[in-house]
Amino acid sequence: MTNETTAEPVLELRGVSKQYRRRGSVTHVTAVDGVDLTIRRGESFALVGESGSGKSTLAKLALCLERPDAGQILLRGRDLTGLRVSKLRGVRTAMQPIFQDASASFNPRRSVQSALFQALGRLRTTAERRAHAADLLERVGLRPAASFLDRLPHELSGGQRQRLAIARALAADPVLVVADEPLSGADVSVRGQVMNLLADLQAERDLAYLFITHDVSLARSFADRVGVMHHGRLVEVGTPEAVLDTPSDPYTKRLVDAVPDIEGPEPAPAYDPAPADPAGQGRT
Amino acid sequence: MHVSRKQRWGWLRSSTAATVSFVFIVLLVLVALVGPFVLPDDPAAISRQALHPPSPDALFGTDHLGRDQLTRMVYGARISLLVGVLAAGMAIVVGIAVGACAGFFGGIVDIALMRMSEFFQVIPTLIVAVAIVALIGPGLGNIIGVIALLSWPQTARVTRAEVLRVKQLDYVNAVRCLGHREILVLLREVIPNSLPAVMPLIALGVAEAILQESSISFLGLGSPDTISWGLLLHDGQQNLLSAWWMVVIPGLAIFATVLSLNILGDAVSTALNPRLRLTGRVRRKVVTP
Repeated sequence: MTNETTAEPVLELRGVSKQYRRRGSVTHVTAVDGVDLTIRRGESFALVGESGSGKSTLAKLALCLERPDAGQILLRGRDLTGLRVSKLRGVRTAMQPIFQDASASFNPRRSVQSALFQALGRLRTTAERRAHAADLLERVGLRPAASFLDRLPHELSGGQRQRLAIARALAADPVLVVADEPLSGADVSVRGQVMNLLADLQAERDLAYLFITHDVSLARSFADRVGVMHHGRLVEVGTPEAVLDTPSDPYTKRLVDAVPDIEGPEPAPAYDPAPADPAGQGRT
Repeated sequence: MHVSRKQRWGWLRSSTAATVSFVFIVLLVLVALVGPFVLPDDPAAISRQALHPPSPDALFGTDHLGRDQLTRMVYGARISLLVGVLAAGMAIVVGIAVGACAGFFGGIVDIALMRMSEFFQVIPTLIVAVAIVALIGPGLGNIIGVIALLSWPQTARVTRAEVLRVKQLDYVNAVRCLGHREILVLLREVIPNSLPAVMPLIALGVAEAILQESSISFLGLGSPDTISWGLLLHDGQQNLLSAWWMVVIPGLAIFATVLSLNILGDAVSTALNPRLRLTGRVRRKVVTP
């Protein structure tokens, strides 16, 4: 985690932009506007910003679920932007998503085993896949694995489903996991466990994370680097301390100030005691 | 979406009308299947006095040639149901295929397929059906084909709308990220999860096809040897003033069957739509977008 500047880049975004046309109109909304971003092997990158700031669109673009209007997306040095879907298939498995709503992340008709087998297509025999699926379930804490294999997604709890989503992502043997608000659907007790699991897996497998979140405190505790998005632009990038403790961008400052301090009676002279600065609000 | 065994019939039990309709359709199918082996008469046999009103001897009376109307009704049920099921089945399969491709692949494929389906939707169905049957001949297969050809667009539109919704769900995107082929994503993830929206159209499609076939036969364009309810109406219409039973009985049969199928279609649709469902007997997992 100390080698952010030397490890090989896993994902590179170069001037990535995406516009959407407003429904029934000719005007365009720029969801993502010229974003440059590099994520290196083993690094956790947290992307923070309010709703509508373009973070989720950026995640979709990175995963090639949407195509950018401009810019390049490189996965381990290979440009994915112009790639046809048929060519993309073999490359994209190196990055795997974890979605916000675990209950919508699984085909309701597929059993746990069937969902994992979809991610284990590279293994030849059913016996291999079965063994691997069981290992993965054990690894993410769904024990005993055998009791989960035949269940349907709706027979799992929310926390179990999120663990299953992690297991499926791991099954594809990725180098990068793109997690879009993976904890916002989970309750507080589950959050800590899932965060610990993600941290352990990162250490084990040298995974890189692109973490999309609106939770500044989560970004602070988990990420090696933080990027702040505002109106589709990446306004500030750096270590959590640099970005979140001494924000240089006015938007970042407001974002950090907006976080209620619920973690205890921490003396907070570093915080601006007057976050509702009328001049600052007026500049939105 | 996943209904347990106990809840599988909930959509039916939730409404009396749906239960009655279901029983009626089941009985009708049984009669159509078993009837011809039980009834003594040949439907084409001219064995009785012509135009005899309903009596204990001939429950539904006889027609203008002295053929037993009850026997003809039972044989007619076979043809009407067969045409209904086959035509609706073909239309639904074609509609699902077209709608799924249009919704999933989008772009030029979508535009081409949807303009084509609009073309079929704006032409006056019955007149065109009559014209085509008159051109290619009155065989049963021709009639089934024509009805199917003219009725797939509705299924296509419903399927397309549902595919558009399902294809952007997280679990479909997750499978995409696993590097599966697009066509397999469509066939294995998107279509199976879009089918519930198409279910109500099955019963409605059968009803529609039965009506269409009746109309075509009523106009005398069916084969005179293929006894269907529409043909009986056609025969009866020429004797309308002297033999009311020849029109009323097939007319009622068509009416009751089409009405029952429509009620069933509505019941399915209500059961699948959580907003319309008031009784709460059917619990379906609601996937929030």
